[in-house]
Amino acid sequence: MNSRESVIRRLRRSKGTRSKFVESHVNKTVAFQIRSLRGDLTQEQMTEKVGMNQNAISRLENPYYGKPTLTTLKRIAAAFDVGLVVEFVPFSKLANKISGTPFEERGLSPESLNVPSFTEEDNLGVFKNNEANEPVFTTSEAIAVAFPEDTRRWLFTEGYADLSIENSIFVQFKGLPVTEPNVTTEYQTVQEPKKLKVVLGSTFDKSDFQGLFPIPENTPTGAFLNG
Amino acid sequence: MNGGITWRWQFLAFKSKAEGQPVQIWFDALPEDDKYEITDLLDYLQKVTDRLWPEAVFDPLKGAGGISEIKIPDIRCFRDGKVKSITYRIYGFFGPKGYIHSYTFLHGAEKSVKNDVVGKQIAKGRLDELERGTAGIHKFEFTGERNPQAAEEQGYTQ
Repeated sequence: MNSRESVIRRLRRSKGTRSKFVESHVNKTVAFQIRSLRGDLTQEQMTEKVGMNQNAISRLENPYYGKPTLTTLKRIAAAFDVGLVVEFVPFSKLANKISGTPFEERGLSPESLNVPSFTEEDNLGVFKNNEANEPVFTTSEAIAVAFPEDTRRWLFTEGYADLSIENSIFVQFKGLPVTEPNVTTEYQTVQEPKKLKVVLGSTFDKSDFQGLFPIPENTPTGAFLNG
Repeated sequence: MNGGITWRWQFLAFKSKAEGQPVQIWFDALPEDDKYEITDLLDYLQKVTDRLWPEAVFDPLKGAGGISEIKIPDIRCFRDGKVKSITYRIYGFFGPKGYIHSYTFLHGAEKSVKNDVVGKQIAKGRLDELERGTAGIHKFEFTGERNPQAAEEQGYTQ
């Protein structure tokens, strides 16, 4: 219903549209989850559980009238013994979530605390229609050794692998180091492909490749371009 | 808990030779922002599969002959030089027979009176037509998905 492409088209309309989108989904998620948490209890029975009056509960369950505070949400989480996450996220992640597009949740990490704006993500090509939502290429074991000393975390922005050269595949990708958002770097390497999917907008560092495969001796280290 | 439930509601709509696809036509003509709001709400309702839809946005309309109502209240719009708050109602029913996990829209309207007798009559009349077999259904298309030909080809007829 809300496909990733239609969500992105909508987000592109204006800053106002984006803020409405956020409000719409925050209100509905909270209201629908609270209604679901109540389960078979009546609103009256829930008043005892959460220590709020029935009118307040009724408003919380209404996506159009409830304006719950963080304190209220924490109280409800405690009453029903569930966790609560309140966080700012990039629009790419929100678009994935709303459209039901699987994405990698990396938990508490440097980039989760440093959220790019819609414009910053757009400038990185994260919302490109033809690349959105699809694993872009099967990466190569050589990528792990392409930057053996580089422990920076990268925001993947572009890539392809389609040229076979004597049982090898030419792999190229572009990425931005998350901690240096204004630097664009391009790597390329030649090696047999491995089945590690990299999705546009995802991030990775060397540790993501560790343990996936043994790094053979004499593996080419790949070229570091435009660095 | 609804762990393991993978199905979702699908939304269909009334169509007939005389009226065409009245709910779809009504929806398509709404302002873009209003269509987004309705789509968002239905997107959530689609995933409420283990209990009744929340009473805040759904009224089973007991005693109304099998029709029910989805409410989309408090949409802010600019009309006649003023910011107004409007409410949309979509009447429908769970079914028809043979279509599991389906809710079929019968009539969509902007709320203008508290008890919308006329709107309910239109919806009930269309439900009766469906039950008599003199009307059919089609897959409802939301914002950004409009492709009537594809919907027709999927054979949503009754």
